[in-house]
Amino acid sequence: MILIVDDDADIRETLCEVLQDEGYSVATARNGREALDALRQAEHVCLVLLDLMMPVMSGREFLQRQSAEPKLASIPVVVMSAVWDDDGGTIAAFLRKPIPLPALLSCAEQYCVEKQRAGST
Amino acid sequence: MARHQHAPSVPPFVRSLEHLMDFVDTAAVGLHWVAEDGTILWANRADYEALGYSADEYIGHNIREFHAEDEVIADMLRRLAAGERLQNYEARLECKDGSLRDVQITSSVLFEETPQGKRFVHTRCYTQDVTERKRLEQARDRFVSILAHDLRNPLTSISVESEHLLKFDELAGKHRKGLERIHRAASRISRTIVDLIDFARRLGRQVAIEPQAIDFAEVCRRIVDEMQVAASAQIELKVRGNVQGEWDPERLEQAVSNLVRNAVHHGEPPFEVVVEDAGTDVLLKVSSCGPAIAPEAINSIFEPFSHISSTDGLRLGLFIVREIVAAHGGSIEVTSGSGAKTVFVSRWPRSRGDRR
Repeated sequence: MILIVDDDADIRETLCEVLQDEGYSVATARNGREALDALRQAEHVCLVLLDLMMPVMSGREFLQRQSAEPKLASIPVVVMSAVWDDDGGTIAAFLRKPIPLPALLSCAEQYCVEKQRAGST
Repeated sequence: MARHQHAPSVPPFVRSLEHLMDFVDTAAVGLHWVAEDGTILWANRADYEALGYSADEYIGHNIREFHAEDEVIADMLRRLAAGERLQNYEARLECKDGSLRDVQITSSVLFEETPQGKRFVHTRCYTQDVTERKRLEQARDRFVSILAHDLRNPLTSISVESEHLLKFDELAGKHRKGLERIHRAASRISRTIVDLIDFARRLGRQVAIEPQAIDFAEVCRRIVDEMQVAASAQIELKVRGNVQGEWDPERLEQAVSNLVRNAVHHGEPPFEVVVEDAGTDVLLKVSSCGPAIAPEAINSIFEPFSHISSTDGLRLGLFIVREIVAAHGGSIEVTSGSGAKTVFVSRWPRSRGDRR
């Protein structure tokens, strides 16, 4: 399952629809805190697509907390943002917004080998 | 008798030493002399008043007491004692009320020759307060960062959604064409935003690059393929010889993309991109045909906002290309006219050692 974390509802819906059409199962979260909750409850998350500037808990804080939890630390995170200064947290890749669709799909393909046909949660 | 390195003569129009001291004391820039051990020997009013001190509270004290960062002043004194000239060295000073001031210090040491060798007489420090400028720069960076976020989010929805929908075969005729136009427009806005934000974030600073081993031809091939689809233009790519080297992949892509886009947007076919081996450099030639660029426009073609008009836009693209080329130690020039051909030739040193 791919977890999309973005406070922008349009982006969540767009990415959800695109990835589902490509055969991936998808979940969404509106901020870092919701994302951590989702990761702790979910069984099998192969990739997190993470925005940085979000209310409640930012993407950077999410990265710090994720890396501090051994169960979550190994889940690959792709940061989607306008800028990435590479000043903290280890990430799998950075996709500059507006995200090029081929780059997004190639990330999904790289980290989520088995596509599952399922609805979003 | 000891002789100073430079012994400036007193101009005849300076009628007295008091006049000269008054001039120095009322200067807007902070001036001071510091001994080798850091003791402040003399300072003008601007120097100590900027920090909220009186002359007595400042002169005779050690300069280290007024620096907020110990390692910074230690480094400055070490370099100065070694005979180095500091130019706009950034430091933070602590005011009497505890607040901090960002300053740029230009300083060098006055040495005198003695029978025992060179003697450290005192530093000659010029201190410029840049606190307000720093504050404005930080505000600008915050503004640009928020603007980037706010503009890119809706653009992500538009571009990803339109590109995704274009994959569906059932979309045909005017609906497909309309969606293609939306997608092209979103890509154009996106590139303009990239250029604009890049420009605003770096104002006055050099482009930062992280070179790594890449194939120049591969980058050109990708850009040419993309542009052929996006602009429905035929672009010929010619690769001559070995064009491997170390460049910043993202910056190189941005430069090539801006050059090809500029050719397609402002020129006429045939469009050609040539990348060739030139020894320690790789040459990139991007050419188009059409009316020649006017000589007066050629001189300022790489300057930002040089040709602002409703049809040309901000013209930041070529300025950014020149900055990226310069950051790699290369150069760029344009020729236009002969054979109604306009050619942008850029030289890209292959590795750090080849950069001049």
